[in-house]
Amino acid sequence: MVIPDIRKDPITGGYPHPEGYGIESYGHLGGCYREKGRRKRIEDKGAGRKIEKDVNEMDRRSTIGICIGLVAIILIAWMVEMNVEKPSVILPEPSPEVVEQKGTGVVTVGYGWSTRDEPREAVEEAVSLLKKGLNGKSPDYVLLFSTAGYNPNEILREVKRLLPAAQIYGSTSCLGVLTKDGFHVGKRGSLALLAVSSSEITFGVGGASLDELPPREAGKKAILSAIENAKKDGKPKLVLITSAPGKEEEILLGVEDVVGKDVPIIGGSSADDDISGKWRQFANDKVYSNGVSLTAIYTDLNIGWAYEAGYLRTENMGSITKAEGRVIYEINNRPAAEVYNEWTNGVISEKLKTGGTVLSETTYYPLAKIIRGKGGEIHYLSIHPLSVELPESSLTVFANVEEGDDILLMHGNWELLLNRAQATPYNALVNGNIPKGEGSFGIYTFCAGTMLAIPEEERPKIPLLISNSIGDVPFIGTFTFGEQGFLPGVGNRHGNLVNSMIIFSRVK
Amino acid sequence: MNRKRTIFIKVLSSMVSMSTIAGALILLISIGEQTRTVEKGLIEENLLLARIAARSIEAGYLAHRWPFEALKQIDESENILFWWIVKPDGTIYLANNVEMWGKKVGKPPPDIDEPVINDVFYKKMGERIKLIIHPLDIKEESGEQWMLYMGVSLKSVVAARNDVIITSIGFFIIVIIVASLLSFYLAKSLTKPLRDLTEGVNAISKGNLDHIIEVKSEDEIGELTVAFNKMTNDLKEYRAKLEESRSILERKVEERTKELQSRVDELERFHRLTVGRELRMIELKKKIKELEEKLKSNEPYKKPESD
Repeated sequence: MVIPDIRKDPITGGYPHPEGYGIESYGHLGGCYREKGRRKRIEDKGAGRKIEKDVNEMDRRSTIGICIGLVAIILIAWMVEMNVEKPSVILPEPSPEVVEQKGTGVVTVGYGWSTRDEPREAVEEAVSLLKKGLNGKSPDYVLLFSTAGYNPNEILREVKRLLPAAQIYGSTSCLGVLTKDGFHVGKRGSLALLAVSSSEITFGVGGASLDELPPREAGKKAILSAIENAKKDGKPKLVLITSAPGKEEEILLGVEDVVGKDVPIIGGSSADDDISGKWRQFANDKVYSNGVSLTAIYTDLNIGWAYEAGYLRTENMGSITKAEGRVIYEINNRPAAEVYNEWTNGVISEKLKTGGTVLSETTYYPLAKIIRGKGGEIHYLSIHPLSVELPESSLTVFANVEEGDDILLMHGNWELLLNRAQATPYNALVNGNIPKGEGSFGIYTFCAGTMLAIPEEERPKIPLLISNSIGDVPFIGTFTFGEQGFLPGVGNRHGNLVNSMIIFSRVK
Repeated sequence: MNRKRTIFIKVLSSMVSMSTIAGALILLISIGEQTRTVEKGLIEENLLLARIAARSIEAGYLAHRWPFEALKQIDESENILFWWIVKPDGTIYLANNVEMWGKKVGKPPPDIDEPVINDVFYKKMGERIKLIIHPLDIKEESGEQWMLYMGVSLKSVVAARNDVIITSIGFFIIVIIVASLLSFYLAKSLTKPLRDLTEGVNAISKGNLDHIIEVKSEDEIGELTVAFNKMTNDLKEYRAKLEESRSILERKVEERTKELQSRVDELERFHRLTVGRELRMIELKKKIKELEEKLKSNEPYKKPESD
């Protein structure tokens, strides 16, 4: 660059401005001056060489450099701090459940479910799922479990319309229903269907109204009707049962009058969501609000079943010294509610003063009747206390009791109750000598009270635990207000807070 | 005015920039340390939780009763995203989330005797997590072990880091303000004497050598100011001497001029005399020549009218 011809000041040695104002001295290096508002520096590089630089431009560049450096340092430090590492393990992601219903040997089974609000749509959806497993076969028999939110007559009519050749057995369930696919709870209701087509199993469904007949007679009529519909002679191998809550023991006696005491009668009392009496029983083309529905099952296939409470025993026990029907007045000659309250360290203290329902308080503390079998084996049949009645401080329970019955206090927690969903199906397989995964279908009954005692977010584990036990086998499940089952050496009994599993083998 | 601002800003911006860089580095290091400490604590805490869960699961397996209550408590822990009980083939046997039951992990569990902690990206949650894999004393017939997988969210670490960042940034801003103020006063203390010196130079450039800059400090700038004042004083003395020399010279020149003038006058007088004589001589010579020519031409002699 050409250096302007400027004269050094004789005194300061600096360069005056070409126009004669302002001097900046930089000693021997040169000096600064202004030109058109910009500051310029002249640097003496020796040997007569001089370089002119724009000072403002230098300042601007310095500032930009500092800023870039600052940002770079921050970014580098930030990257180091972030310490980003690559994943070393790839985790699975949930994917939609694909319903693939495998062949079940000599038994063809299909199942379906729905939580749609409209009964017609719900049945259609469930039937469409169910048909995937039937491979075009027409089912002989359909299990129908539905919550009480739907119109039961509409539900049955639709099932009958879509599966006209099948006998239909079922009942209402509390809150939701179960299938292999999950625990199904809908806004209005939910329902599940399981259909069977097999030449190796014969089903006969029968029903009777408890409004028309005494319970024992109704039981008789229902089983006779079921056997007739099965078109078989002789005793069935197993009887499925559901009825309105209240008179289960008498109904069982009626059934046993026909089939004897050695045929397992397994099932559960129909339920609703709020114990308001909306429970229903389905028997082919009839819907009972206070009735009994039965299925007589004839087969040479192995059937495994288990009927268990799953509670732990305590040392608190005594004898019922005064009782009538389902009311315990006295235990060890003392008011029953007071004794129960002492045994449980006061879980019903408040209700002892006011009386009333104690269902939720007593779910973890059922009483159990001690029942001795013919071989001396001991069974504990759990009974759920329903309410405290004043002024006598008696306990109303969900099963019949008699004076002289030995009882004890049991206890549990939701963890124990949830674990039953794995243990009971497993025991059913063992009892039926059916290997895991070799079942054709299962029917699961779970006490509604114990289901409600399990935290809501844990309830979806119930069907998964069942599948863990029985393998890839379709099943259907219901939540009931009382459970009936067979105690070896004792016979058929009605209990509370119990769960049961029935599983059929795939092959002979 | 522009010059003063530029110098001031240059010093100020340098100081503030350095303070900012130093503060930012301290901030980042501090955040990193805090984050590592929180993360380490979180891992240790959840590793302990995994050990407890593993013991519960093993006991539950033996008793045919899964410890769902304990596992639920773990599930409800703030930082636990999931727990899975995984079979040796990678199948998830039990999980807190029922959707995961029966699924398979991406690769089979490692053969380990002690818990390991992996960094993984959990796509479902869209976040980087710590995966604790804890061996269980549950074995297949082949001897292969089951494992407990526990996903630990780092959200609490991020939250803690964000808290630290917010606190640190607040502190950082205060530090920067204080540093800026200090830098301002430092820049001012540096530029004020320089400005005074500049004013002094400008005053001298206008000829005011009586300008004295007040010395306010004993540092290098103070020494420079003293030197400048001395230089100004020296210049003043130099200029005074110069002035004195010039006046003496002028006097001498005047005297010499006068002397020369008188000589010139004399010379002029002499010149005038010499020239007059020369002119007379020339005139006489002309007359002589005329006379000679007359003589030569024999013309009668005429007596000159005057002499």
